[in-house]
Amino acid sequence: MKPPVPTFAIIGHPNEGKSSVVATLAEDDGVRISPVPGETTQLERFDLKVGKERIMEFVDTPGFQNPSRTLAWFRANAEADDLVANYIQEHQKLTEHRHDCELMRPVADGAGILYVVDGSRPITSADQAEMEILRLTGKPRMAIINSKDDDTQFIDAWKAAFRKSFNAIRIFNACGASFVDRIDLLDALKSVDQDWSPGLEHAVSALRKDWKRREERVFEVIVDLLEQALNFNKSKLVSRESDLEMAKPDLEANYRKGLEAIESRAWAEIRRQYRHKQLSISLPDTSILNEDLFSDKTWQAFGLTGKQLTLAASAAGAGLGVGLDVAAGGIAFGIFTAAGAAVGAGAAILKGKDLAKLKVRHIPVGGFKMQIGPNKNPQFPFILLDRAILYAQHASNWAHARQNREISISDTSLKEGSSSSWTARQRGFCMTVFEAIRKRRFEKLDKLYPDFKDILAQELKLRHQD
Amino acid sequence: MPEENKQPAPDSRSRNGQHDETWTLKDLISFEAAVAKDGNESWEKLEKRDNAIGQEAPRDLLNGSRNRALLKFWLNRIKDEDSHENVIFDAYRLASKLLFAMAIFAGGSIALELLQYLGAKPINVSAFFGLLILLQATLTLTTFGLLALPSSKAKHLRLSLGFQILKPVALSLAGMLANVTTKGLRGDQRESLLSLLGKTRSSLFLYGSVLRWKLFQTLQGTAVAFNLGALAAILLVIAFSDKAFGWQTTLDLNSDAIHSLIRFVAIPWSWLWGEGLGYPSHADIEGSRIVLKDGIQGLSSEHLVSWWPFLSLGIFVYGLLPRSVFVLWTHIRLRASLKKLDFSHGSAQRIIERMKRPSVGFNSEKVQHEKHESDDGAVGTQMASLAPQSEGTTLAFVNESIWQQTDEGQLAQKITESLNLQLENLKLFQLTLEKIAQPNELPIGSENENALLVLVFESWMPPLEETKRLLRELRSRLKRETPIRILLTGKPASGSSFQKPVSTELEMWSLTISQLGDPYCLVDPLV
Ligand SMILES: Nc1nc2c(ncn2[C@@H]2O[C@H](COP(=O)(O)OP(=O)(O)O)[C@@H](O)[C@H]2O)c(=O)[nH]1
Ligand SMILES: [Mg+2]
Repeated sequence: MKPPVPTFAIIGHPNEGKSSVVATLAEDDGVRISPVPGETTQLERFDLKVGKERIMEFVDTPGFQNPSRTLAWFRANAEADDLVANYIQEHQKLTEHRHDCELMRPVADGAGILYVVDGSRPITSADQAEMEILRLTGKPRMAIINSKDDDTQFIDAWKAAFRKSFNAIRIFNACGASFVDRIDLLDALKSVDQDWSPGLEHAVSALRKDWKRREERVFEVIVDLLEQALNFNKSKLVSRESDLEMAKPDLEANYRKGLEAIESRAWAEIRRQYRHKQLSISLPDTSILNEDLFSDKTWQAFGLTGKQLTLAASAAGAGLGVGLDVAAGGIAFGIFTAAGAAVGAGAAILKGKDLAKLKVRHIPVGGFKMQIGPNKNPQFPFILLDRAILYAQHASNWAHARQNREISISDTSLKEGSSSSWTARQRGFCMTVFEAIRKRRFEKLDKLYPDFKDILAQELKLRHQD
Repeated sequence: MPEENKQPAPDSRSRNGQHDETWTLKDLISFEAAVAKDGNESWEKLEKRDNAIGQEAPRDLLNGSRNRALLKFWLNRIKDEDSHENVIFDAYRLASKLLFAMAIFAGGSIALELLQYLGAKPINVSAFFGLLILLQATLTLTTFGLLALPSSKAKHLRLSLGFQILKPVALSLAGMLANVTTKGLRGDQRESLLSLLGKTRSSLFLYGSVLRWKLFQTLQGTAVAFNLGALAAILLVIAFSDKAFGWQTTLDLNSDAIHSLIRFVAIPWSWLWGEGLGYPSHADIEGSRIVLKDGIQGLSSEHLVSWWPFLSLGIFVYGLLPRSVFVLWTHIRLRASLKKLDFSHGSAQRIIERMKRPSVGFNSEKVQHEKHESDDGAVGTQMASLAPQSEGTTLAFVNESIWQQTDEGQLAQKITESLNLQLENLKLFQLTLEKIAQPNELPIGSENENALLVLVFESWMPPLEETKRLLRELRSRLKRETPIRILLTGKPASGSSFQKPVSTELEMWSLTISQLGDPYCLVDPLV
């Protein structure tokens, strides 16, 4: 039999970040959050699900509106049983107490209490009243210090105040919390009440498993992206030679659009894995598809420099034998055969423009076939990879409470694309993978993917700097 | 032009000791619009601006307590500063002009309609008489009765009438509104809506009588226009066509009864134009009766035209004349209400405070420096001679957590500085949780009716229901006009002292407090 679904009511003063905590914990960016107090007027339940299964429930509540009167009532009736239910019973008809009753309701129904305060401000008498009220409810409770800004001078005072009336205290930043922070919080909740332990145990392990599943899925999506993009081409039949020039811009535009669609499909899937409905992450969009992507300057801005690439190629060569040149085909890879000498020449030869070349073939039946792509640029897969990794890092770490939902990743952060920090060996290995993808050597890929996955998994775990 | 600002402006009005303190409705609307606009400005900027205006104000005005003149001075300066048009006032004026035009047209066309003469039958005066004279006379008399009633009686009548009819309506409306506000709207929209309602209540409380008289005046003006239209129509019809008037009724009335009714109605002008001239004689009435089966052959034209002077005079005496008198009367009452405004409410007081406040400590160093250069002596004397805002006692209730963290003397000083008060008049109390829960235990009673009430709270804690409740409770135990000032402390920066509140927090408080609809309750930073 499964343990009951652990349910927690998030309670506190207005505008302290209760809804934000709920959004992040329940991974739901649809929770209503507002800089103006009084946004939440009714309790609202949010499920945390793994697949179809509910593993936890978080109840968002309005803030205390009458702490001093409520405290007075609780003190006066401290002896009575069912204090919370009685309070609601007595006050629910009063408009002034509507919010107070609403926030007590889940507590009366047996939810655990997560009391949220903004740790970046001093404690006031109203806070003390609220803490005392919650103590008098006699329900298991944890205090969450969610600092709205970096001011830490009051944190110790908060901790001291909480120690008197709370079973556990946690610092948890609703807008900055990562998966690990969330798991830590749930782990800590176990100790608050023995009864919660089995449910939380189950929830934590289910979440961990799910997180792993998401990472696997993201890997699949990225591999898919590479397979599609690296082999992507567009072709067109023209009957007369004179039409060739005319048809070219169209064909190029189509090619670009196609690549764009492949990439954004992959990104949407990554976003979906991390349950972001409103998040939009934008990378300098045209760069991957624009021709000036293939200029020296852009090469330096994204991913690897020509030198790194050259070193990578020689590493790959070392690992895979001299066959590389043949395997790679095309002039571009010619430089890697003469590893040492090519270092200087690299930049000059690696002219991207020539790599996603337009090929025109005369068809025996008559007319011409124009084809653009697949892109043979050795840099190209690294750029795709860097962008996808960056995207996944942001999506997985972006707390659902964050109100900034339009992230635009500037070129500066791209300069430190993941791949540029890899060892030459790792990069070389990647090139082998890319080459296998290009050549559609699936058996070989099956052998390569586990190691490739390790490299990517490593990257996805690294938190982005923000 | 800083050159000009340096000198306490020898205003043309102040030269002969006379200060302009007339307030028109237009001024009033400009004033409120300016105050509303200030709501979006930073507190420091307003402080600086009004302080500068204060420096320019004639000394006797600044030191006296003539709010009307001082604020008029302020308003003129503000208007110079940005000459925004008075949209509301202009719109109202345009609307009433349209209304007048429509009323003239309506009066004219109704009269024409009633005077339609098809040649076969004389015009039946009964409808004209009933609608344009009898009905108007009744309305006029009722209006007159209401105006003549002593104001307390009228108020009572209005209240009892109003309560019977309006209360259930108002209650259900309020209920509906509450429903709407809790559902469809976002939190901030809901708060703004409630604030708008509160501000409307405030304005009605402050300017209710002015607005009522203005509205009444417009109504009466419209009635005048209507009567003008009707009168013009009848005179035109008489002048340019040949009309015959007769009367007709299904009721069992003989011409005697009609005659006495006519004579009664004509009393006001019978001394000037008697029977046969100012109103139809018995014979005329007899002679102009239309009996369906007899046709009109037997009626003589002399009798048939005898009606028109009576009809025109009726409209003039029962419609045009009294309505014109009402217009005049309301004009006088409107002026009187405008004259009675004393601008003691919160937002006006705050402007005066800013004008009077010694600028040291608020303005930038540069400004201070400038001032000392220009009229150093004057600043000193001005600071010393500044009249404190409130002559009576000030009761300040300081929220528990602030009280515990701040030195009492320092707190007292800050409060007096913030509000231009005298230290020795200030009494400080701790506002404990218990007192917030039970505001009736606060040491306030009828003896404090004329006191100034100050409440000190933390700006970063949003105002709660219980804060509003406390304010309502305090108000219920004081006069409507007793000033209640809320002062907010900002988050302490490093350890000890309180800082200035962040502007968003101030705005949040102002928004919530404005929902109370209490024009004498105001939020300010404690500095
Ligand atoms: N920077 C920052 N802002 C926060 C944090 N938590 C909440 N906020 C902001 O605080 C405001 C109130 O948050 P909300 O969750 O609606 O508070 P509630 O009234 O307690 O539900 C919103 O503007 C949030 O964006 C946080 O951890 N960091
Ligand atoms: Mg909320």
